[in-house]
Amino acid sequence: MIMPARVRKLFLTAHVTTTLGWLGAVLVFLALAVVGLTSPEAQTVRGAYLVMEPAAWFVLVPLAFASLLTGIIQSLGTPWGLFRHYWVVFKLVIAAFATIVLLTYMDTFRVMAGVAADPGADLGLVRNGSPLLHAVLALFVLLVATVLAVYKPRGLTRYGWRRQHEEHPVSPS
Amino acid sequence: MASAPPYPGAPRWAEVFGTITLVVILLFAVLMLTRGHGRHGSPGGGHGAPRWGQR
Repeated sequence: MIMPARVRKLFLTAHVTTTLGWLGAVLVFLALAVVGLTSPEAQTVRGAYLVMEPAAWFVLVPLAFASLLTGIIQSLGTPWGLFRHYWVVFKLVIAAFATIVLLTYMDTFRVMAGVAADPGADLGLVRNGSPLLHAVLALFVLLVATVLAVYKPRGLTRYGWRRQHEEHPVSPS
Repeated sequence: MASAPPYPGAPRWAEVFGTITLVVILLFAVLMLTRGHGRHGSPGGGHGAPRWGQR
């Protein structure tokens, strides 16, 4: 079902905002991860790992789900469709995969926060390179999704090809 | 009504992109299976951490 232009713009605004918000939040996590690994101040290092878990629950997870949901609604309500064009399918796969990885990573945030909260834990044990690696990978993946959304490379799926010829049988393309 | 022309196949970029995506997803699945659920990137130590909000 094609949405009216006003609704479409509303969902497009929501999708762009949540997706770029997600990207921005990942950048903040990247900064936190660098601070956690490099700061000479013990309290700063512990604070960085302590704040990651609530920040992920309150910012990363809601933005990831909002981006995924608005993206699905946006595609279903426009002629692009969800499974008609390869770039839309890949964006869906990227968003779903990134959200699953994030959810599985939440337990790691919890463990790292627990270690950081333990005053007896050595600072070397508190420091962890995992958030830096994951933030870099997440940033890369989300940038790829952004590039796909902006450039919209050509390519119809088999389903999209069939639907196009059902809807526009005389169309030469 | 004329029948639809045959599907020309996926473009090259989609094939490459799809292959890379599949490999990444498979790698993640293997990592999850071999390292176990809930130990994804965990720091070494078996620190029993309290759940956030219970500290």
